[in-house]
Amino acid sequence: MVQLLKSRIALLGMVALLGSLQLEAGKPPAGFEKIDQNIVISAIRTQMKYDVQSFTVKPGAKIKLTFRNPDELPHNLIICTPGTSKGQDKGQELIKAVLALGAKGEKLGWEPESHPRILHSSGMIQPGKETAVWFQAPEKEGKYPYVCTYPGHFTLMNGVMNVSKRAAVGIVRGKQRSDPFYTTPSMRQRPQVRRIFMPEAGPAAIAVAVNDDLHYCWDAGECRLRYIWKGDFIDGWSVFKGNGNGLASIEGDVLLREEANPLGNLLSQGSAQPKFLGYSITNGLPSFRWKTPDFVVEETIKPTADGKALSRTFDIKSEKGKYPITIKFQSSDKLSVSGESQTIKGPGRLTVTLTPRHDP
Amino acid sequence: MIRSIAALILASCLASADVWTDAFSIEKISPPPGVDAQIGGLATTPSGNLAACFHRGELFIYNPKDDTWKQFASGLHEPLGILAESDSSFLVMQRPELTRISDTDGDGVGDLYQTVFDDFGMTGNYHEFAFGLAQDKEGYIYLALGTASDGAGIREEIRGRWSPIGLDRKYMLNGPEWLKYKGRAGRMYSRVPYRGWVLKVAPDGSKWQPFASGFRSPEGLGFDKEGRLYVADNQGDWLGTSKIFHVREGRFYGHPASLVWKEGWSREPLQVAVAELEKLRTPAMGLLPQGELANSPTEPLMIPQGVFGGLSEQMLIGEMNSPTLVRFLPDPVGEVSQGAAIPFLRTGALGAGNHRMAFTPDGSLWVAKTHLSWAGGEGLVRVRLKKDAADFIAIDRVELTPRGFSLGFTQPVDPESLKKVEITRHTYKYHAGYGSPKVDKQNVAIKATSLSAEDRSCVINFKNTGDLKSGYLYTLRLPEVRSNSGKLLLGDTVYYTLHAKR
Repeated sequence: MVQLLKSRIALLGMVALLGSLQLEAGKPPAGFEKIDQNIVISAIRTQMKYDVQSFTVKPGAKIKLTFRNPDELPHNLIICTPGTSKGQDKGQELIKAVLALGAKGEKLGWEPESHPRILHSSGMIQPGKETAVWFQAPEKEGKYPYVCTYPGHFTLMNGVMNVSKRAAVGIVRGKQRSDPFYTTPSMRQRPQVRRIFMPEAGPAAIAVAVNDDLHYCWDAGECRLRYIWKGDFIDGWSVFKGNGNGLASIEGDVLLREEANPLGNLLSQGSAQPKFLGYSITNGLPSFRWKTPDFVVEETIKPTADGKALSRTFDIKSEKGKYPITIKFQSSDKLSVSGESQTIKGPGRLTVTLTPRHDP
Repeated sequence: MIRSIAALILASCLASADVWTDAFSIEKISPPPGVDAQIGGLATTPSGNLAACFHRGELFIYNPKDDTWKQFASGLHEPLGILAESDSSFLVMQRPELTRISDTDGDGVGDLYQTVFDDFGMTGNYHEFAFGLAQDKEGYIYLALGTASDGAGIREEIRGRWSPIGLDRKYMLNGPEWLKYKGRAGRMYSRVPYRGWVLKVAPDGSKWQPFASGFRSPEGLGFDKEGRLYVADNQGDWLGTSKIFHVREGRFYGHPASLVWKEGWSREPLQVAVAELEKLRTPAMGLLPQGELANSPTEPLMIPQGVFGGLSEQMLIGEMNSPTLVRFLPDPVGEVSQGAAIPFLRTGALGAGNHRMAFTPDGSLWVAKTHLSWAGGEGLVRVRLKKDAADFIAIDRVELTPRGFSLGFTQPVDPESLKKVEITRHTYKYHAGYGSPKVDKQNVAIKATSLSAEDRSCVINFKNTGDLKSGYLYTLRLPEVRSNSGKLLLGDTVYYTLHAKR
């Protein structure tokens, strides 16, 4: 009993500290009898998503935020400070701190006490329950990400609160997922290699999720990388739902579209179409193999140690072709390559790093 | 395409006791959790497990002894056929290629995906399915490539050579304009190699050859013990009804779209006179009547010896659209392939969607189901002959005679039960239109029905031998035929395709 009382006091203290009040629905705290904006956000059943992708409020506005959880898993909604990425990072430091909680996380509702990036929190809401949070919007304009900190949820379950003097207030609903298998382990597997009809590629396309955030499309018809994107992986429902008459959609921002095979010089020497040989899988990641009459090439794209960039390796083997090979990479305004044009003396191995650029 | 006869069959099953479930147990297997349970390919492994590849590209191994699934591979593109080379190496026919998936480090999971064969075209059209697989005695692999459907156009980026024969490529593109032009593309079209063909590939991919042409949607392939290749095709344009073909090298089987890939061919197939196509084509071994027996036949598979009583070495064919399989009894006359189709396991307990089949050494028949965007089913079903049911009665032989038919039975027939036998005949149109009505349907008068060979052979003579006509499908109805011990006949309708007389 004493224990319980203590923890309740601690909770109240925390709430006071954070400046938001989480009370029984329908009982606004003092000063919030009249509110400026009423926001309702719901978890979408079986989809691991909030139904509201973003909402916009005026600086200093009094907000009532209702969070509903009709799902079969517990979820929370924590509004974060913009952080160094200006609200683009889904509260990454908070997520790291959540993962560091380990075994005691469950007890704490996966909420690290007094974490500097927590602005307001719904607390962990059990299936079928809802809660209301009253708070005053920050005076500082900007993007404030909100996430569910339950482990594994944040990559899909996130959104953004825009605080803006000029933008119209309101909510933007997220895309409803129709795919009943969207959040199954098979579809959420990372890394993942998936052959499926992809946009902006030939019909023998392969989509690869390198990690939770970085993905690429490799074309087995042309034996080359087509594009790299950042965000979530793909939604394949338009292909999966029936006979395949559709394309998967890219669920993120394309960072780079590669217009030609970087080994064009090698192809022109061989003067024949590259031939796809397949791929081997190491730690879930593919190494694609293809050949020309003179060469066998293996291309591997892996995440860097911190998972924020990609390491791209070409391993070129040949018995006949001893001439120098020029490899031409392109950077883009969203992705920088560690060396754009390189020459190797003959068959061998070359690695470059592809780093997403931060938003200006 | 989705003209379901399921309801009709179900109703007729409910009306009388189910003779099929009296003889066979039919058991549903729980699919692996969290996986879209449409199965595209099924094979028995050397150790007696089943390898099943699923709609979203997973390959699982099912162990029937402990009812467990273990994942072996993932990420395949609409796999529709599989062969087990060993318990750790599989050949899979997926949309873009024939792939060998093997476990090289012994951890029970495939880590090497080798492209064995991908020298065929893809326009990105959804109907360009890649079907398989069958293997001949020398180890060569056979696969079949579906034609594209005018339900959609093509993608901007394609794989493979584009055939200039037909509507200009710029009008073939998928999109809002497609509806304006699709009427000129052909109902099903083949504009990249070798759509509408069966191909033969060396197991190491080092060589391959186009084997036979003239297919529309050749859903399944299988060999018999003598090394004859059979392929099923689905009703639609140029197929008045669904068919089972005995496929021989170099032959053309009737759907003209594939002709553009025939060596030396330069004409628009849609403008070739039907009479010329008729001369070119080898007719189907079996016509499977639409709305009665099969609307979307799938894979032919031989029943192993000693498994289903008196039905050893006979051919089964899957059927997607309705809750039944088909049993086929070839009755070749000289070089001409023809024979009889009979319903098998025509019961609601089996369900529809019967796409791939395999036998395990314990005598179980496993039926894997899918539907995609058509009528069908999901998951895996196990069929076993019940212990006390080996004395079931079924037709095990159908032979054309100069005066009618001779039928063989697995058990002595009660002579009294043969009185209601009825025969009709009809044919189908061979034309660019979709399907065909029954053409020239006639009743056939029976002169006499007689039993011999200890009541296990029944001779049916026609009143008028002029009723025996080439190009016709004969429907023999044998309602209430029963064995001497009182068991009802399993499969009481015979559909005999006649091309050559005896």
